[in-house]
Amino acid sequence: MPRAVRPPPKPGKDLVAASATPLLLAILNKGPSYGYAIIQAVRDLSGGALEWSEGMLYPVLHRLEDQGLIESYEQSGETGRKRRYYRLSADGKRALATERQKWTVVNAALEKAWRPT
Amino acid sequence: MTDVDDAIAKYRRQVEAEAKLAESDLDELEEHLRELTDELRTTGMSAAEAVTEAARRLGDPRQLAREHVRVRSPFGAPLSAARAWSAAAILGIIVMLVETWVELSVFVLMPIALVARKTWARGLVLGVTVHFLLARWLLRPHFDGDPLVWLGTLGVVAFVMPWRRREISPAAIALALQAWAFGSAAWGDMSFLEQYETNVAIGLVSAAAACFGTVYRARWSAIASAISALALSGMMFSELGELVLSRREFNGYWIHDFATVGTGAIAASVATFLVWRTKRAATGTFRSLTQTQ
Repeated sequence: MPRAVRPPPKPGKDLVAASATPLLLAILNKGPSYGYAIIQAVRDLSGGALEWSEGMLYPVLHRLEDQGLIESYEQSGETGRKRRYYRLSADGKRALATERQKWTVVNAALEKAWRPT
Repeated sequence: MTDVDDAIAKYRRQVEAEAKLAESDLDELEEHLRELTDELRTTGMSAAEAVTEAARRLGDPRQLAREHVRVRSPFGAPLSAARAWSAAAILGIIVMLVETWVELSVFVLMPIALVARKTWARGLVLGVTVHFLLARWLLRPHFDGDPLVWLGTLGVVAFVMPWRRREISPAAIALALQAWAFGSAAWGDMSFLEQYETNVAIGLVSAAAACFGTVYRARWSAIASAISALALSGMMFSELGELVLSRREFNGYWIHDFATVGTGAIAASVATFLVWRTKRAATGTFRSLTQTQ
C-alpha cells in the first residue's frame, strides 16, 4: 500500500505577514478586485497553503491605500450590492517591481543553498 | 434571510462597540460576510449555520475593530480615555490663566479635541505644551510665571507623552512640531518682537495652516510648514542683526527670544521634511478629522 503523501506544512505567521504585500500587489496587478475575491485568489494561488485571517485582509488593504500603493472605488457587483474595489496605482506598480526584485534575490539564494553539492 | 440579517447586524454591533469605524468600512465587512455566507450555503449548510461559520472565519470582531483603528489613524494609537480626560481637565484650568487671544484659542481647542477623543489631539497638545514649558518658563532668565500653571503644564505633558514605543506616529510628531512653530510665532506676537510684525503674521498664519493641513492630511501642509520656517528664520536673523548692530543688549532676555524663535524655525523645518516624506494624497481627506476611538 503506498504511503499517504503528507501535505507540506503551512507557512507560519511571520512568513504569511512578510509575503502579504507582494502577493496583494501582484494580485491587483492582474486587474481590480475586491476583498472576498482577493482571499479566494490567495487561496487558489497557494493551493490552500496560505490561510489568511479573512477579516485581517481589510486593515492590510487600507494600509496599502494609505501608503498610496492602491486606490479604492465603489461599484455594484454581480450580486447587485455595492462593493469596494481596489486597483494598483502608479506607485504601487513601482513598489511591486521592487518587491519582485527582493523576493527573487531571496528565492535565488535559497535555491542555491538547497542544491546538493 | 432574517437569520442572516440578524447575525450580520449583530456582528456589526460588536465591531462598533469596540471602536467607531467608518460606515463604508463596516459595509465592506458586511459584504464579505454576505458573500461568504452565500458560498457556504451552496455546500448545503443552513442559513444560520452558514452565517455563524462566516462570522467565525472573518475573525474576532473586537480584534478586527482595534486593527482598523490602528491602520485608519495616521496619528498613532488614540490616548486612553483616562489620560485624555486628565489632560483636558488640567488644560481647562490653565485656560483661565493665558494672556493673549491667540493663546486662548489654542488652549480652548486642545481640551475639546482631547475630550472628543480626536486622534490628532495628542500631537497638537504635546507640541503646544512642551513649547509653552520651554519658552515661557524654563528658558526665561527669571522665573516669573505662576508655579501652578508650570506644574499643570508639566502634568499635561506627562499625560499626552508617548509612554510606549510606537504610540506616536510620524504624522503626530509633524503636527507637534508645527504646533511648536505656532507657539514660537505666538511668542513673537506678544513680545517686543512685534517690531517684525510682517514676519510674525506670516509665521502665525502659515503655522496654523500647517497644523490644519496635517490634520486634514494634505500634502500642502509641507509648503505651509516651509513658509513658517522661513518667517521664523527671518525673525531669528533680524534678532541676530539687531544684536550685531548693537541696538540691543546681549542678555538673558535676548537669548530667550532668540532660542524661542530659533527652536520654532527648526521645528517647522523638521516638520516640513516629515510631512513631505510621508506619502499622502495631494488633497487629503476628512477621514482623520472625524476619526475617534
